[in-house]
Amino acid sequence: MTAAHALPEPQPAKIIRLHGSAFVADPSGALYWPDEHLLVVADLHLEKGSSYAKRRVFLPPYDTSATLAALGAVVARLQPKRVVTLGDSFHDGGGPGRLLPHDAQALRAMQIGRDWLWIAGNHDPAPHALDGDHATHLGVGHICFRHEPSVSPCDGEIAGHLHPVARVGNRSGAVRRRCFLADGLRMIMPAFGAYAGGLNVLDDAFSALFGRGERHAHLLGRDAVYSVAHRQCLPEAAPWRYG
Amino acid sequence: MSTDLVYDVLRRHEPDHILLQAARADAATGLLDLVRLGACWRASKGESCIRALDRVSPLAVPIMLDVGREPIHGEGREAILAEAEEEMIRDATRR
Repeated sequence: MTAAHALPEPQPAKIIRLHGSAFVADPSGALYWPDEHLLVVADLHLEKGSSYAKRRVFLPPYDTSATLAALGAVVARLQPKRVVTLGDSFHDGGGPGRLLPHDAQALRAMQIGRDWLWIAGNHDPAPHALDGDHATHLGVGHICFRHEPSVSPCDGEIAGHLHPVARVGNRSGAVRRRCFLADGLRMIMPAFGAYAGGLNVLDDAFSALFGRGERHAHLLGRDAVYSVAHRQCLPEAAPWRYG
Repeated sequence: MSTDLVYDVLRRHEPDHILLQAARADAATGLLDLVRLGACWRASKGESCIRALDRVSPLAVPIMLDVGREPIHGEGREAILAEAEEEMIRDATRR
C-alpha cells in the first residue's frame, strides 16, 4: 500500500420500513425506532460461555462482558427511552445468577433512566430477578415484537431466534456477515451476542417464513449497514455449519 | 459454536492463550513449513540470481494462477459490501 486510505465518507443511517414505520438498522446489530425512542436487540445469549463450562466444554469466559460492552456503547450513543431485548437474552435459565459482579453492574448502569423489557425466548422462557419488566411479546402500534417469528403474522412483526447471516461477493472475494432480513411486513434481527453463531439466509427456515416474496438482507458492515437483494446472497462456502 | 468467534475473543483478551499458541504453531507447519523454507533460503544465500524474464517461467505458473485469489481484509471487505449494495440499487431502479 503506497498511499494512505482516504477516510470513509460518513454513512447515512440505514432506514428499513416495516408496515409504514421507519426503523434505523445500526451496524452494531441493534434496531432503533426513532418515533418511539425504542431500541431493540435480539439474542444476546449472555453467559453462553459459562453455560458450556457447566457441561465441561470450556470456552473463553469473556463473551458476556464483550456483549454488554457493545450494548452499552449503542445505548450511550442512541439514548433510547425504552430497550427491548427480543429473547434468548441469557443462554440458559441460570445465566442471570452467574453474571459476574462487574457485568451485573454494567447492565444496571445502562438500565438507569429507561424502561427495559426482557422478552422471553426458548433459552430463557422464565422471568428472572434482574431489573426490568418481562413479557412474552410486545405490541407497539402495528408492530409486534416477539422472539420466535410467527408462521403468518397479520401485522408487522420483528423477531429474532434464527440468527441470520448472509454471504455476498464476487470473483474477488466473498464476505459473510450477520444481517437483518426483511420484507415490508416482517423482520428477523441479527443475533447481538458475541458467541451467537449464525444461520445462512438461504436456509429453509427462512424460506418457510418469507415464501417467494421480495426480501432484502441488510448486512452489518464495520461502520455501515449494506442492503442487498435476496437473490444476491450466496450459500455457505465451507462444508461445516456455523452455530 | 464457531471457532472464529472463540479465536476473536481470545485474541482480544488472552493473546498468549495456549490455544492460540497451538494455532500459530499449526499454521507455521501445516500449509507451509516455515522452518524448512527458512533453512532452504539460508542455504541458497549467495547462490541465487535474480533475473527479470520476458515470459512466465514454468515453475512460476502455479503462483501466477493464484494471483487475485488472496483473501482480502479490512477496506476490501467493506468495498465488497458496498458494491453489492450498488448492484442491488442499480437493479431496483432499472425496472
